[in-house]
Amino acid sequence: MKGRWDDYVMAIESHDASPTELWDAACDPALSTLWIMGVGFDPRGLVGVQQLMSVTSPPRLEICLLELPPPSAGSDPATRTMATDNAEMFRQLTEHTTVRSLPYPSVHEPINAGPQIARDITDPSFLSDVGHVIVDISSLPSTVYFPVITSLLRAADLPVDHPAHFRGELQVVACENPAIDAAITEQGVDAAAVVGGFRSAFDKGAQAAGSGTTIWAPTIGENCGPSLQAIHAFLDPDDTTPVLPFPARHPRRADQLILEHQLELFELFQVTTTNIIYADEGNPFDLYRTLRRVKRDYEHALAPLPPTTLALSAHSSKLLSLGVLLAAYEEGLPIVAAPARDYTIDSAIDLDEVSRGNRVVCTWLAGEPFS
Amino acid sequence: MSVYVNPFYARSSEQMSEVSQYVQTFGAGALDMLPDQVWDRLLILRSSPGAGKTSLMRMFAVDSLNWVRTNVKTTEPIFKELSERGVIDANHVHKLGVMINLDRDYRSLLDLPLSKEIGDRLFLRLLDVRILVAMVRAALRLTGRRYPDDVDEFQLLGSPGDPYVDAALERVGGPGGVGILAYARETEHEVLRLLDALLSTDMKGAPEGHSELYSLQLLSKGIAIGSEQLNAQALVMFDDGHKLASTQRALILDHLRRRDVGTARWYAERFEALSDQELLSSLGEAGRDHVLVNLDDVARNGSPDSRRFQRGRHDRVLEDIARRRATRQLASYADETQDFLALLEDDTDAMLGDEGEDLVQRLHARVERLSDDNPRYAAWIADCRDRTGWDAVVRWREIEVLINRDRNRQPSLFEEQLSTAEADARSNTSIREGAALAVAKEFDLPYYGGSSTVVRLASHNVEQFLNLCGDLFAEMLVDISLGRRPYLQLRRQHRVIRDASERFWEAIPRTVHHGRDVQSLVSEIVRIAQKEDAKPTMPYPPGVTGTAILMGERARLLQPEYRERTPGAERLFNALASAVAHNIITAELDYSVKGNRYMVLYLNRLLCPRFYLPLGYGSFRERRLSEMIGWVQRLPAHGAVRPAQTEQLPV
Repeated sequence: MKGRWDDYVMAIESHDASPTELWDAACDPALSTLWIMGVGFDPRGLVGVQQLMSVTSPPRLEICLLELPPPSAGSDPATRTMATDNAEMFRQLTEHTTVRSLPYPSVHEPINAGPQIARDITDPSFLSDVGHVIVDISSLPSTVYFPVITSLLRAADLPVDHPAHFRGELQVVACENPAIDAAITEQGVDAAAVVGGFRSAFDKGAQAAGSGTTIWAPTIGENCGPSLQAIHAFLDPDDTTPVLPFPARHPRRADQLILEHQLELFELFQVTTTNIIYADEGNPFDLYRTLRRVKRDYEHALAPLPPTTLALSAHSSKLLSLGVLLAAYEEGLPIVAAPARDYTIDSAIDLDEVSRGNRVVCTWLAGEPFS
Repeated sequence: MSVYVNPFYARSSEQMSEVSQYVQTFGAGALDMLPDQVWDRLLILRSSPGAGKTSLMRMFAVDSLNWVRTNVKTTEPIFKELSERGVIDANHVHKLGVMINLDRDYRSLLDLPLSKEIGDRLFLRLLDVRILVAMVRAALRLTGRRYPDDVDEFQLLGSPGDPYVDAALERVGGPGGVGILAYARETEHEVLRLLDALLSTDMKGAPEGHSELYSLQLLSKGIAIGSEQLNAQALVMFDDGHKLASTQRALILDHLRRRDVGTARWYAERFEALSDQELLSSLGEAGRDHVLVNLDDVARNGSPDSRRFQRGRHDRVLEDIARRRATRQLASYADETQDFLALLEDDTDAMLGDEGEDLVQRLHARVERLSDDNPRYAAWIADCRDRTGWDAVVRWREIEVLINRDRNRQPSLFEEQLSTAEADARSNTSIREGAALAVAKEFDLPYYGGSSTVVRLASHNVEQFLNLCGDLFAEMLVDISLGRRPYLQLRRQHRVIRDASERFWEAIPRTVHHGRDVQSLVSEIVRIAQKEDAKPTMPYPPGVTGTAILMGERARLLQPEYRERTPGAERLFNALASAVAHNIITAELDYSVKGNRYMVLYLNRLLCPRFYLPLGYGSFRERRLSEMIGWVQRLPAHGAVRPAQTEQLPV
């Protein structure tokens, strides 16, 4: 069956291409362009919006700043300094731009913050004069941007006469740099949960009406051992099919990830090598197609058994996370995450040098190209 | 990718999905950690993570009980224990045990825009349907039916005409399995719809909740499958109670404590030293209304009656678990008939390697210099000269400590020669352990190894024990791959154990909330320990491995107002709570010393090898609360990484 994003629209920053073309194409001068972003420690957080404002600032640009929870008092001082510096740069950058701030909600379960933010954003009054939404996920945690993008897709898919229908263009931007992903370590990961908005895909009466087979497809990245273990303990899957990035900018990245996580993958989770899935590191739609196919294959193979659940989790780059999200959205698959409390970034890396590898990528998920 | 399976890495009971695998690796002795009165009143199980709460409860789940009953030959010790408790006999299972995990969704209900009253009622309704569905499933399985195909055969029995029962049945979908399942599905759907709502327009209409836990009352009236009444008492085991919000915890405990409920109910939660968890006065009288079992305490000190589970027995339970886990793999991979722990070299002389004689000479010379030819110590030195190997090395170091101590004493008028009996009287096993460790540390000798050491490193924690055994088994697999006998020399064990200790330390910031502050706390305790251990007289043998604060100061730290007005107190509170919750530090409350009462904080034993600390408990140095606050207020700790040790294996 043809997938919604089998024919996709994506722009990758290179010497002869730029995502600005997609921004220009989606912009409606009569309505606002809303750039949704977070500002934290991640050095890539401001790259996208800087590019937007320096090259092709839309006539009615508004920034929606999703406030992130403050780092804990005992977190890494260098990372906290980076967050403070980024906040100051953001303030200077947006001095003459309208900024709508959404405070980080106070919640009992961290996983519920994302859905609350999503509900605020898709409130009809919030999007009433917005014709173009760009979600910049470069500096947002996946437990926030998964629900936010999902809610916008749902709003776009609602009937036109529904009060929450979003009639505009939806694009997602990420500043991609695998070297920076590899330098970031999550801190304080101790429990996993289903990401808000995807619970029903997981529970579907599993506790009330019996459970079937669970297959877990984690997209593997660097430094994610504790998350993998927490999610595995939570899911207790019957089988695990890890996703590794290949092709990748660094051709041996997949091999290095296998070496890094050999204890988890082969000893704790008992992964067989034939179960490993490879996906293009630079194209979320490749992973999207692959995961859809994996889901269909498992459903076909395990048809005589009780229902099969393919659970996803994202531990790799932002782009591959987007592929996970699109497959989950279209196929109704659950996404599981183990939220981190804090982050550290390897102080040994030369950020200026590594930042040369930044590449802004824009994907167009709903609106004109799909009508 | 390994062709060999490491039996210790499929470690948690949750992950051992096969009932047969779980039962066959369960240590029967652990059942004795439970008291006798667990069927007619609320049983509260409390422990640190990984101490075995879930495993223990899972043994009482219907699937496990049924497997034990039908495989008596394989499970004889467990069958015997359960029979004595009246749980099963050769023909029947008498307890219909189900586990309800309190982790999923319940706490999230508080994040819905609902009033507290509606939220509480929704919480009870969700619990009710999950208890009943679990019970339907268990009853069908026990009687050989299929779930959900045969759900129409399930029936809740009630007293006809009893208005309470009639009303309660109406609230849960009726007495039949079909109605119960339909009501449960509707409830799950409605709750999930709210929890999953991503559009503000989807947040309308909360379902009606329950004012009490109807399921417990209804299950106590009995269950029928088809036309036959089940002769089994319903047992509901709630796991992970610490995942509930405090208001939800209070609500559920309030319902569970009621003595008029005929359903057996167990409630397990993680021990939290910095909470008012111990204040159970609202639950009625301990013993009569509820029984509290602190599994960590029972593991360390035995059961309160000292009969059912004696002090030291937990070590044997761990040894039994290790044997059960590895026997099959060792036999099939290496034709090995010896138990796993017996394959860990325990020969202390092997610690010395080729350097034994040289070390003895160096220590001898040092003690001779210290004694300065004083005839008072001549007999002690002569005694040392008669010894060889590791025994001699430790004895020289021990005598060195005793001479230092003797010199610190007030000299008597007539200094007499001290006999070896006097040396033994002044020494003890703690000093000898401290001496052995000091020698190992000074001369970089392998120290941590042997079956008893591995058991001690578990800190009475099953999961930690299995992890460590898994690391050692992985090392054995190297030998097996090379066609050699999987027998681990002390030096290799020492390396594996130190690596495991290093990983445990390194993982703290990544896996523990407030982990960097927790590392700071641990570092400070280690600093105190190393300072004390460096003293020539070894004042706290075998060495300090903990600290303590007065219970009064702990009470102050519990007060939110105090934490608010005292800079750093909140940070210490969070770090301590997190360290205890994650079993980095173990807390003993109300420890009495010289008229004062303390909360004693010991390092997890698995941290000790990284810092060359002893594994024995008992020695700590108390500190004031203000000083501890200062620890976390300094710059966050940075864990220095110890370079990995490599060795060439003779291939």
